[in-house]
Amino acid sequence: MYTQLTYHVFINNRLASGAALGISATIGWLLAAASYTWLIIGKPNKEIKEEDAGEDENSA
Amino acid sequence: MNSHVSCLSNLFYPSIKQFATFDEEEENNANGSKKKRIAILPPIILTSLAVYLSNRSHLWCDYVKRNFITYDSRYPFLVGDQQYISMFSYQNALDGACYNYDNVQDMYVDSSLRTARACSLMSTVLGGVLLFLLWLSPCLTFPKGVNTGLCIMLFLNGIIEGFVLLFMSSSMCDGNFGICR
Repeated sequence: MYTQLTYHVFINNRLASGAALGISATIGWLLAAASYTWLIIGKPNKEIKEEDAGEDENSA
Repeated sequence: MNSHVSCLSNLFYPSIKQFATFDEEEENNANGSKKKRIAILPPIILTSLAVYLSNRSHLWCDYVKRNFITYDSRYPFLVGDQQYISMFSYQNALDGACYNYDNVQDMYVDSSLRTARACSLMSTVLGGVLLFLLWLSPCLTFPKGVNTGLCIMLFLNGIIEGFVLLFMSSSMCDGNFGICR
C-alpha cells in the first residue's frame, strides 16, 4: 500500500498520464539506442579512430 | 589507473584537465579521450531519462485513467467514476490511495495484462543494467561484441517498453465496462 502523500504528489499534481510517460520512455530508449549505435559504428567513432591513429604516428 | 578513477569527473568537469596536464603530448591524449567521453554523453542522458520515465510510469498506480461505464464483476474494486489503474496497483475509489493487487482475491489476469506486467518488469531490470553499463562506458573500453550487444539491447528495451502499452488492451480496459485513457 502506498501512502496518501504518494497520492497527493503523484496523482493530484500530475503533469502527464503514465501512458504518455511510457510512450516518451519508449521514444527515449529508441533514441538512446540510435545515438549509441551511431557512436559505435558511425561518424564519431571513425573520427576518434583517425585521431588515435594520427596520435600513434606522431608518438612513433 | 588514475585515468580510470577520474574519468567520471572528467566527463562532467573537462576543464579540470587543463590544470592537470602540462606536457603537450599528454594534453593531446587527454583531448582525444575527452572527445570520446563527451561523445558518450547523449546516449547516457537519453538512457537515464528513459529509465526515469519508464519507472515513473510503471511503478505507480496512475498508468491510465479509467472512466467508469458499467460495473465489471471481474474487477469489483473498479467502481469509481474516475480511477487510476496500473499493472501492479490501483487507486481505491473510497480513499484515493494506491493499493497493490495482492489485496484483491481471485483477480482475473488476462494475457495482455500478464504480458504488460512481464514487459514492465523486464524493461525496469534490463534498463537498470543497461544504464549501469553505459555509466561505466567512459571509464572502461568495452570489446566490440559488448558494444554491439548494448546497441541491440537498447533497441530491444525500447520495444519491450512499447509492449507495456498492451495494458490498454487488457480486460481491465474493456471498452464495454470502462474507458482507459
